[in-house]
Amino acid sequence: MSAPSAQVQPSPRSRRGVSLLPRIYLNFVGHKLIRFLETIHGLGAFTLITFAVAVRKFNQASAVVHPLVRTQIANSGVRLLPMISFIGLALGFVIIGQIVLLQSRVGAQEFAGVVMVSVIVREIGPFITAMLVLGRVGTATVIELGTARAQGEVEALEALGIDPIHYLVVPRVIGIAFAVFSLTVYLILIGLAGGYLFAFIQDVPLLPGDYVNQLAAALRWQDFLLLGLKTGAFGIVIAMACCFQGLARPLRLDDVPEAATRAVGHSVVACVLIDALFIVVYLLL
Amino acid sequence: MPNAATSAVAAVPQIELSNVAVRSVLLEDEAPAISGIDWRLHPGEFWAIGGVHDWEQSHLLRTMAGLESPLEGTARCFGFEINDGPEDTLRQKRLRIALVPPGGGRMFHGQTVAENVALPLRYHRNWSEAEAEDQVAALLDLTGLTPVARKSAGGLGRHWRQRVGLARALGVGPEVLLLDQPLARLDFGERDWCIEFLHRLRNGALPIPGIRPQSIVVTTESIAPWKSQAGNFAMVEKKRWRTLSDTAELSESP
Repeated sequence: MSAPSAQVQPSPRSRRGVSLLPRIYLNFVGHKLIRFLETIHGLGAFTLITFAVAVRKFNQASAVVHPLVRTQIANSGVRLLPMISFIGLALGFVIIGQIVLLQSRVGAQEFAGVVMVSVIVREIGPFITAMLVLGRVGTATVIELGTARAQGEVEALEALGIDPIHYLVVPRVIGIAFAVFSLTVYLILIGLAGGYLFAFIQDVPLLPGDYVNQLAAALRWQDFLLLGLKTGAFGIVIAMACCFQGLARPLRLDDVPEAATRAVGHSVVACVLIDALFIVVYLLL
Repeated sequence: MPNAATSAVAAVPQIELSNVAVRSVLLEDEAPAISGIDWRLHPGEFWAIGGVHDWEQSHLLRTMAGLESPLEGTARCFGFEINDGPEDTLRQKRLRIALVPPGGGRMFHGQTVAENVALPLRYHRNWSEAEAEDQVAALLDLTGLTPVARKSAGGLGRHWRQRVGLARALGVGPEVLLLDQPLARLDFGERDWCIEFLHRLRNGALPIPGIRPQSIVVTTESIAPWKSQAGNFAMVEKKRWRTLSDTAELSESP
């Protein structure tokens, strides 16, 4: 009878290594979760303060702040018109034109309006506009405010009795929110026009009158209301995330790029969540 | 004959610090940079506070101006405790105190010198650019900034920035002027200009009506340049506040 084979006992060191792995992983996840909750808490507080200042101080120092609002609308909206025109036209060509072309092959041109409203008016138009504004204006906002914070301009404003939220944040929030809404409407119009242009070039049997009638039939009053609310929400979220990352906490100059990256990430996630929420609202209405 | 109300108002210190400790910029923890500050600023006084390093002074003057809460003790601006009461009331009290940070403070990015000087004036009085033009021109002329009025403020040298900081602070007509290291890293010509300017400011010898702070406080590493100008002195030694009460103490101070 042979002796039972000796079982290999794990060494104390490897036992500790095995038990450390779950703890390290839990620490990592817990750390990320705590940072996420702290960010939500800070961003929420910053948003409430900004809204309170915007309401209470709307007419205060209007000779200084209202021109800043107009400047932000111009910087966030008017300057993006060429890019939005290009993107809108490309959107119309690539998406709407292809859909119409395919539909015409199966004789389903009468559904072109429904598809265009569903795709470009309700979903892609607002989201793409928000992402363009985030990339073009949001990152610049984080860098501008973060640099001002790092270089002590915020302290200089406070020393002069000027509310930094009122002077720096409120104009940007209003400007970016208004810009996202306005540019979305513009992009939708360009996209719809571009889609028909592509269909016309491809000899799709679709008259302009029929096209417009299809669009009108597919649109409901809820589309206009929810478009305004959704784009406004996108704009406010982008502005708040970017202003928060740039301004709310003490920064050094070499922290500014990381703050811009965080702002973009937070804004994209928030916009996707808002989009999902509005899908539910659409279904309920 | 002054009535009781007038006397009562005049008796209230403009700034009052009771057993105050202020934080340090350099230290990571909450250890105080200066402690044991019992000090009152009355109208008409000119204080020079010496022996204070850069990192200590910033928080000291910000606490005096009501922009920061002290680590310990109580700070009051015109009888109003800065940790107590509505923010709007505190804001009104703070506007009566102007703070000039070291080197004049940070210049506002993307603005000219004239726009930097105009900003606090326009913000607090809700003036348009046209309405503020005359006052801004007068402030620029007073501080010798007219030659650089249209230049970008960010590219100015230190002595010009110090003057811009002074012009910005004076724009709203404060009753108390706090200057953080106003002579630091200035050449002798600029130091003399600054001392002479504050002397004229205190004596009301400036041409702009409403631009005359009642009280001035300067912080400095050495009080020697201020011995002939200031009437009251204090020193910070080994992180403790000490008011200099007589000529002997003053002559011994650096």
